[in-house]
Amino acid sequence: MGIFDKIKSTLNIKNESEKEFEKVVLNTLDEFKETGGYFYNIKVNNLNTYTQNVIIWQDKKRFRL
Amino acid sequence: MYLIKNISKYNNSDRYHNYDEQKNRINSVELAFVQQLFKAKLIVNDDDIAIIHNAVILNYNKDFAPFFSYWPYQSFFNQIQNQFKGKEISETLKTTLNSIKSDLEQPSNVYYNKDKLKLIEKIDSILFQSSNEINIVKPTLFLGEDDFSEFANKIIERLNETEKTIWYKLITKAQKASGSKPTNKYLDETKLLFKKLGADKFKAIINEWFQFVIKYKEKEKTSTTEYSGRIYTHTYYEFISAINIEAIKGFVWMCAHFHDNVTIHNIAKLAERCFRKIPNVGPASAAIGNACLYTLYKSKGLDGIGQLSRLKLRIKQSSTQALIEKYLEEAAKEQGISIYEIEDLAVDDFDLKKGERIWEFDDYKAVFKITGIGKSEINWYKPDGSQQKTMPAFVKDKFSAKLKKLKDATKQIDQMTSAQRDRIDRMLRADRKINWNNFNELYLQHGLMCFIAEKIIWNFTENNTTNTAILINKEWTNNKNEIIKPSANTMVSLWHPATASVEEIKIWRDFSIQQQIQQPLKQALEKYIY
Repeated sequence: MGIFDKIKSTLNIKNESEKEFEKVVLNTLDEFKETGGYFYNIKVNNLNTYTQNVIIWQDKKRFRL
Repeated sequence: MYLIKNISKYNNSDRYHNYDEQKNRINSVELAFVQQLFKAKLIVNDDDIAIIHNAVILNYNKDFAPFFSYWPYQSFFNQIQNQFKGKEISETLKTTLNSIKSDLEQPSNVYYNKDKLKLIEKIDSILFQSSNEINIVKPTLFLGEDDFSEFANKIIERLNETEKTIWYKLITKAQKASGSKPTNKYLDETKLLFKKLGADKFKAIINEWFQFVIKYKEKEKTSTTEYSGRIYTHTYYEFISAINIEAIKGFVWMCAHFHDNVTIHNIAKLAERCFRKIPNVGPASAAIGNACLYTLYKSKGLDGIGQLSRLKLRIKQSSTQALIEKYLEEAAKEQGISIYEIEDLAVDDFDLKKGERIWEFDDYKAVFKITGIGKSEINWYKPDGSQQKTMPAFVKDKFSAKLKKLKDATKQIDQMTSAQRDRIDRMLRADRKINWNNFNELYLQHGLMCFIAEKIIWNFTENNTTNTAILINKEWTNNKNEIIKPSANTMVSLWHPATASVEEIKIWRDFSIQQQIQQPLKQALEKYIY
């Protein structure tokens, strides 16, 4: 598969993992709202969604994210 | 990839006209995730790297800041560098990196030049590392596209291979000079490097660079950018390119190890130059200026502190003055004395004796003498003791280095007399009182300060009695021509017409005219008393 096909397939996949990623982002957003921090300076490494979830994912999954 | 896709989609949407708070917040979280994912360790293969870059480029809205500024490319390259350190990289990755490099080299707003050049340098460094032994040093020169790079790089290129290698390492270190202060690690590592080179050789070259910057005049430049299909041209002033400013800052920090007169003086001049304002811009380079202040504060001995005290009067920006004050206070605290005492102690006497110094050139003598505030003269004497009107011809050829030192000292002393006069003038505001022994040692017996102190009217207070006097024929004399004898218990302070009665001012005015005293400060002849 050529590189552009790979990009195309990566960008067009609509599957379970996308739903999971979407959930991760929304959970992070909710978590961040509770901290009362400014939205122009978000640090996800202080939030549980990242430290207890995303950080332990395998490299491939984090790359897909 | 999911995040890059979503962020790009949002950036390409009509988000300004159809603003949605929730979408905007999601976009911010997604961007924060991308930044964090690249910061943390993430193993990627050659194809992944190409996919990431192509996804960025294919979906990028050109009306935004350049892609390398918007996306965390610096962290991305750090990942690649760490992952492939000491390993040979594949042809595929080389092709990808070269393709990213060519995308970076596309014209962009001059504002982003520093980031752009840093990233290109990073790619070159990854490519160099992969095709060379790990102990081979990559030739690194000043990256900025300015006159300083041209000047400084030529100097490096003239050196032998061993010295060049050390300079490459030093420049690499200097280019990483970020933040407001260097770390101890930075100072230690750079010290090891310039020690290998020899401190004198190192100083000779950086002082040449500093001199270049001190004398350099900012240039007016024009930049053209494209936005929404329109071409915009704007004019701006460039002093030194942003990327070279960082490198020079690094070299200034390295000088914290030195305390020689030439380097300290050059750093003080550099600070003055960098805080000089460019019209409609502000200080030429506050970053270098602040680094100079830090180095003067940290330099061994008290000469740096003396220069800080001088700069406090020369630099007008309030934030800079506050920074100088902070450094002076810290230095005083370290020595367990007051800020005024440290300023007293820090005045260099330039080996002067009663405002004079003799320089010998074979059997000829040059007698340097302070003649006024900011003024001095040099008289030349033949071996038989008779005066010669001009400098002997052989001095220029045979003693060029010594002559340069004499000229430099002359300039510095002229500056110093003005600075010290202004410092004494501030004593009233600070309500400064000095005990007699310190006054005698740091003012009257000081080779440079005595010239000023002896022509000033002082208050001598002992047992609640204050006498006001000036030095006439080596005796402290009041305005009634009576001799005052200060003792170890006497406290000395500046007499100022602002705190004296009109009667007293008139008497002092008449006394100074009668004694033909030319004062460095307007005390007796202050205009507002008339």
